[in-house]
Amino acid sequence: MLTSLLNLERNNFAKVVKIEGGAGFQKKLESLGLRLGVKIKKLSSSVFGGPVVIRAGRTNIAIGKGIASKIFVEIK
Amino acid sequence: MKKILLIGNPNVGKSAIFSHLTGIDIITANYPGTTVEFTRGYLKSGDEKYEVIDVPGNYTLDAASKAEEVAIDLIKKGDILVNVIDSTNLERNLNLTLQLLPKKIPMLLVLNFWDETKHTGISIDKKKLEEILGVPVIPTCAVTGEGLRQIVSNLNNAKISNFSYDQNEKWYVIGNIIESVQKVFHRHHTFLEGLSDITIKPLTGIPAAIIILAVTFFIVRFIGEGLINYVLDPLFNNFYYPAIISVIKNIKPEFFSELLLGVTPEVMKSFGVLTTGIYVPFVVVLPYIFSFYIVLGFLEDFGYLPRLAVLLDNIFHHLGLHGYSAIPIILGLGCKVPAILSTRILESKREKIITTVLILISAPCMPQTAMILSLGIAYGMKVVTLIFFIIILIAAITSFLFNKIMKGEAPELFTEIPPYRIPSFSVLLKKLWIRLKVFSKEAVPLIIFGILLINIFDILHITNFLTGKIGKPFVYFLGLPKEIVSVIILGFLRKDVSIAMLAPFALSAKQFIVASVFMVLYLPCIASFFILIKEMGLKSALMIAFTVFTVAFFSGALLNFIFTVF
Repeated sequence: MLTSLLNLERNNFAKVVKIEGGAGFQKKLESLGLRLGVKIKKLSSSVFGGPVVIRAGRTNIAIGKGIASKIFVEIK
Repeated sequence: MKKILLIGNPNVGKSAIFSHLTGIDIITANYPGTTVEFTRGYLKSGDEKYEVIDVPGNYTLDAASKAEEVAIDLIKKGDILVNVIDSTNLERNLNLTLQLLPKKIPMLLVLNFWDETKHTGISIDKKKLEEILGVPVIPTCAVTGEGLRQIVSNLNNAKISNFSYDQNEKWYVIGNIIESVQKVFHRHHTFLEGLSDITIKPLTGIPAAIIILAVTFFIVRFIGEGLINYVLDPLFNNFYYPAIISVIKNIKPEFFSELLLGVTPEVMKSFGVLTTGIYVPFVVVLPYIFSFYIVLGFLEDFGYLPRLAVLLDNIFHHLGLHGYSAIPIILGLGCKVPAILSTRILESKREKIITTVLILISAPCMPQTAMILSLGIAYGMKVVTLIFFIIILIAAITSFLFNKIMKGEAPELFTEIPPYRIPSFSVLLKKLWIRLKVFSKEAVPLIIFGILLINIFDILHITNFLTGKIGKPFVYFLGLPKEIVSVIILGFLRKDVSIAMLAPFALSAKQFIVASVFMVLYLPCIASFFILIKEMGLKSALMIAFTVFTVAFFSGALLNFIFTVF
C-alpha cells in the first residue's frame, strides 16, 4: 500500500518508494540517509502541523510536514 | 607546515578531538551545527609541527550549502585529511568518506564513539575496513580521550587510497562495505532510547518540556540566588568593602576617591569603580552566568535541544521559521553574541533576520536578567514575572508582523536528532570554564568601564547637560525621569549596566516595568551590534537596530499609557 510519510501511522515500518521533487531536494534527503529503497520506522506523527519523526538506518530525523507529504512509502 | 583537516558529518565529535589535539578550548555540544566557523590550532608531534583545522560538519560535498562550499575550499589546501566518523552510524558517514577518498589526499579514518558501539549492539571489524578502504582506521572515544594519541602517532601513516568505485553505484558499494565489516546484534531498547521517544512524541514531549524548563529555571535561580545571598554578598560586605574603604577613603584629591568609591555609601547607587564596578559583575551577574551555563551545558551535551526544536516547530511556523531557530534563541538567554553567530545553521537570510530579531527581543541576556531580578525583587516577584511576560508577548507580535512583511516561505524542518548521551563531567566543567573565562575577559572590563564613564559623566555634570537636551520625549512618552537619557546612552555598552543604572532613581513599580522592558529591547549591546554587522552586513544590522528601537519605544509608550489610564 502506497502512502505518504505524513499519513503513515506511528510505529509502522515501511520502505521509501517515491520522492516527489527535484535533484537538489533528493540530495538533501539523501544526505541524512533518506533515499529510494531505504527502510524506515515512523516514530512520531505530526500533531497540530508539527513535524514527523522517523528512523532511517541509525539516524532519527525530524521532517517538516510539507517535506513529509512528498515522500511516499510502501508498508510491508 | 602541514595542514591537517578534521572533517566529517555534523555532530561526530570533531571539535572534541580538535580540543584534545591542539589544547585550544572550543565549545562542544550534542547537536548538529555547534561549530559554525572553522577553528585553527597547532599540534606538535616529535619535531614536526602541524596546523589543525576544525571544519564545520558536512553530510556531503555537493556544494549545496555555504558550509559545504567552505569545506570543499578547505580540502583543496589540506595535506592530511582526518575523516572523523560516527561508528554507530557507518552507512551515512561512509557516504562522505567515499567522496573524500577520490580527492587523493593522505587520509586517516577515525571511528569515534567507539565505546557506544558496544551498547548499541554493533561490532566493526577495523582491520577489514582498513583493507577495503586502504587508509589507516583508528577507533576513538573523544570525550574520554581514548585513542586520540594514535591519531597523532599515525599522522605519518596517512595514505592516499586507491579505492575506486562507480559513482552511480555508491549506495550499493557502501552497502557491501558494511555487510563485510559490521555485525549487528539484537538488543533491547536502552533506557536513553526510551527517554528519547518520550521526549519527542508531542503527547508526552510537551509536558516533559514544560517540566524540564521549569526545573531549569528553578535550578538557575536556586544556584544563582544561593551564591549571591550566602557566599558572594557576605564576602563583599564583610571583607571586601570595609577593606577597600579603609584603604581608599583618604586618597587625595577627592576626585579620585569619588571615582573609585562613588559619592553615596550605598553599593548599588554609588557607581564607584571599586564598589559598584566590582559588585555588579562579580556579585550580581557572575552567579547567574555560572548557574545558567551549568544547566545549559548539561542540556546541550545530553542532546535535549534538538528535541525541543522539534516540539516548537509548529509554533515557529507561525512566525515564518522552523523549530531549529529555537536553538539560537535558547543560547541567547545566556548571551546574544554566540546566539547570533549560531544563526548560521539556518538556511535563508530571511530566516536569519527574523531569528536574530527574536534573539534580541524575546528575552534579556543572562547578565541583564540577573540585574532585573536583583533590582526587581524589591517590587515583588509578580513585577519581575510581568516584565518577562510582556517581553515575550512583544517578541511574538513583532516576529509575527515581520513574517507578514518579509515575503518568503516558511522553511521546513529537516534535521537529524542525535541520540541522548550521558554528558561527561569533565567536559561539562571545561565548557563552563571556557564560558566564565569569556565573561571575565570580555564582559567584566566593559562593565567596569561603563560604570567609570557613568561616574565621570555625573561628576562633570555631562549627564545633566544631555538630559536637558534630549530627555523630553522619554519623560513625556515613557513616564520616566529625565536622567534616563544617560542610561539610554551608556546602556549601549553593557545591558546589565543599563539596568544597574536604574537603581538610584527610586522608580515606582510601574516605572520600573516600563524602564526594564524598554532597556531590554531598545538596542543590542555594543558587542552584539558588532557581531550583527559582521554576520549580516551594515545595512541589515542597522535595519534590525532601528526596528528594535522603534518596537521598544512604542511598547514603552503603550505600557506607560496603559499604566496611566488603568
